[in-house]
Amino acid sequence: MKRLWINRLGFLRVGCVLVLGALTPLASSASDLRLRLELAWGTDGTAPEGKNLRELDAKGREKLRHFRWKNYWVVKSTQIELDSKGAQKVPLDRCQVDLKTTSDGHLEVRLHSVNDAKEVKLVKTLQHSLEALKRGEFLIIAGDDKEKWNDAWFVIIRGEP
Amino acid sequence: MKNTEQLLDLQAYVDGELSEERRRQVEAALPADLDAQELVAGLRQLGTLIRAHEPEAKVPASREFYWNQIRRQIEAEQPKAPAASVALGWLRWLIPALGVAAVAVVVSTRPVPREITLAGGGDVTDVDVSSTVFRSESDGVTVHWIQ
Repeated sequence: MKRLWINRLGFLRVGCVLVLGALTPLASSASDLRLRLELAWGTDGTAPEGKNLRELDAKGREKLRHFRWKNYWVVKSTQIELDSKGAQKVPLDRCQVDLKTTSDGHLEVRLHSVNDAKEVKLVKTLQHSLEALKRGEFLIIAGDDKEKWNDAWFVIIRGEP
Repeated sequence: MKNTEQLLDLQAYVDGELSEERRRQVEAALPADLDAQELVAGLRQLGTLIRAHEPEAKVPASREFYWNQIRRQIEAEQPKAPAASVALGWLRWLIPALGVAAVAVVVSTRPVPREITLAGGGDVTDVDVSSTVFRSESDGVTVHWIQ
């Protein structure tokens, strides 16, 4: 009888180890997506006085080399770790980016504009491969600056190591 | 006061469009004709001003950006080459049939299509079409340009 109990406890231990072993990779893959989001301003002019804007880094400028603007000033930059279970809302100055991962291996991006009254308006919804982001691909959403002719804005999303 | 033909000759002279003989005639007459000198000077000044201040049309993206879009569209619209062998003519029927069957399988397994792939490959999907997508595999960048 005692031997039977020992055997049962042994099976229980083995079972726990197996379950934990199966769950560990899931837990690690859920939190391994680190992203950097930047709102950049493309212009031929200089940075506005009084605002402490830094220039977009060399890698970012390389990705934007097909565009014609001379300068790309970073208005806002933030880094996040994306949890696969929940969505994240990332404020970026005058816009907001909602992010969440989908079950089919994509990152869903919902870009909103935010006006002076803090009203949020959906501008664009798209999906991008998580694998591509992990490989270092840049996802950029951009458009003409409606307030300043000849300038443009860029929301840059990149995977971080 | 000059007639229309003389005025047109002066304008053509300024633009360098007169024949050699006519140009010599105009140049010979100019030193004695103050009105014509004044008109020639005015036309030259006007031409300089127009050339200096001609508005330059610029597109909001680079040449490579637009050529990439055009190339993709051309490639997408190019018809497939006909089958090389008559003996394989049945493939003309079999391949579309298999294609239709594959589409039917995909549609039946995904009853609510909600994504449109715009830029090729499986990495980019776009829920609405209000933007132009530029994707470069070699550069590792995808740009959605909001219209």
